[in-house]
Amino acid sequence: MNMNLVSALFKNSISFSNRPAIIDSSLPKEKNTFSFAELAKLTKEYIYIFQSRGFSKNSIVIICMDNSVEYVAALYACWSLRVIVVPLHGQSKPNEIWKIHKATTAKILIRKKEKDRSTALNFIETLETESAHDTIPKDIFNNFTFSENKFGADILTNDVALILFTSGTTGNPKGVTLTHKNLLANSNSIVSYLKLSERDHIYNVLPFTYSYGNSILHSHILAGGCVQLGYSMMYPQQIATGLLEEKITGFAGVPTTFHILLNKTSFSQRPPKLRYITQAGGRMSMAMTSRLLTLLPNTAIFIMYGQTEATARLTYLPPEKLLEKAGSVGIAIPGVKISVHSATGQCLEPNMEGEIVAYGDNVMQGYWNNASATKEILVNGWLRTGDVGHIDDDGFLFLKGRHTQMIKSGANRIHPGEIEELISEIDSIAEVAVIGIPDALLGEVIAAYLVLREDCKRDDRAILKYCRENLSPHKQPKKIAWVAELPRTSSGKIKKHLLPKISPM
Amino acid sequence: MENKKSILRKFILENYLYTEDESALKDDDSFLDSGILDSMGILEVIDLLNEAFSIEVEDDEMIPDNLDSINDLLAFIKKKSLAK
Repeated sequence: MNMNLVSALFKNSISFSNRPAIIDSSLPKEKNTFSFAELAKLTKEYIYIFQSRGFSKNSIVIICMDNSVEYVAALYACWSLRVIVVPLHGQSKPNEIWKIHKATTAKILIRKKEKDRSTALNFIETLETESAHDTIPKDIFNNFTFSENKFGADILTNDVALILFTSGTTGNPKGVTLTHKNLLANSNSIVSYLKLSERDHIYNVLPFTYSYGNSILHSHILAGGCVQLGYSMMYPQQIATGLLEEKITGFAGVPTTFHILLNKTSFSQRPPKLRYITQAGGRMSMAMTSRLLTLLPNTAIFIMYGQTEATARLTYLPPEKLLEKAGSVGIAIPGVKISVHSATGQCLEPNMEGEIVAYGDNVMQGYWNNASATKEILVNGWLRTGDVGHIDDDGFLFLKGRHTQMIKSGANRIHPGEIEELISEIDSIAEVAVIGIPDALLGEVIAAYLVLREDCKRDDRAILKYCRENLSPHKQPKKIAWVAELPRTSSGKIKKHLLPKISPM
Repeated sequence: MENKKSILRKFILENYLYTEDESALKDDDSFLDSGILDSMGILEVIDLLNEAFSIEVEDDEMIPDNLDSINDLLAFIKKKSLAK
């Protein structure tokens, strides 16, 4: 039988039937825990509903939900029916959904039923799920044609499972296309180097709609471990308190997560007792790593590196090497090869700087419907990461910088193009450039540099209001600067690195 | 209390909803669920509580029950003022 994440979930619903799979901290205690058996049951109910709605192999469905047990069940139900899923942030705005619909031809959107929802979507069929605790009719399985002992059996390893959008612009959307093989390979590697088992219980604050959170979810389902859905980073003290629960064994964050916990909560005064923590999503300062080491002497600290294009993970630094190889993102995870290439694509010797490339079953199939962008990044099966660095004599990878313009704000990845596109729709704006500027709390915040159209009036508020109405909260600019003109190269390309140096008008 | 309420409402409407339209914010709208505030916004609200009402928010008090809507904030201000 084919092994995939769906078959793993149903296998674990028998092996670990009563062990918790998902705990939702935002629900009252008496009904916040879903065992593997209960998660499998909810998934079956969704399979039934989706099947009766005509979901079938290779249809594309958008799941627009924040972390919840309903998200997990809807995702696994879609996969059971060999449906391709595009996950989106639960607070996505209609025009953001429209762009994804247009880029993928997804015809159905699944979201949670909400009482006061004001935004009807007229361009896509919408299916609203009941909360997991609402009664689903008992006779639901009477006409069920899905063969119960074969969940996941007909999924082919090369079936597309997920499309994760790293950029939402209409001009050049980049939907990272991941197969069941990609997801399983990366989850297996993660389970192996983190030594995850059914005894693990992670407190998760990362969104499942991004690769980091996505990888946490699936590696735990595979290992039979529990994912506890933590509170929003908006209330970090609740997270610091939540981590003190005895059953919690792991925690994952980006540098901002640890910065906030160390500086805005009781984490330093009352450090949790964890088996391990992981950090990815950008470089964390050595000072912060040292603070964590001192506070958590019995916790394994994993520094990791990866990319959505590689499903999630590419390398990890074995915790015992944290000091010896300070500043490194470690060695390739099991099943992955890492190399450094010159500009002409030649493999470079140790310690020579070049572009980091990666090979393995976790490397994506390409960008959805975008052959030209795919051709640039996948060369003979090797993924060009766009990151620059070197590998030392012992095989440890050190990153120098990134080529990409992606803004990293908190746990979010934001492509400036989408925000620029939206702001340029405003009549009074002649030109716009969006960048991330350093921020002590969030790593980066979004800044929009604007050139006013002649005879128009500056109106910061109108710009911010328009962004608020059309962009998810995490994509909204925090800073607006009016400039006389944007700095450009002779070929007309905007020199974004010069923007912070221009004095505003 | 009415005065405090209008200070809080004005602060949220102006800085996060970018409008003077009072109907854009209900007193029990959740800042978290409706995406009105993010982690930075909530720290700015805490600064406002300190500056406008001399209220110090302890780490343990940074929970949605105290801070997640206009009504939550008003109840929290009342509780803190009584404790002084």
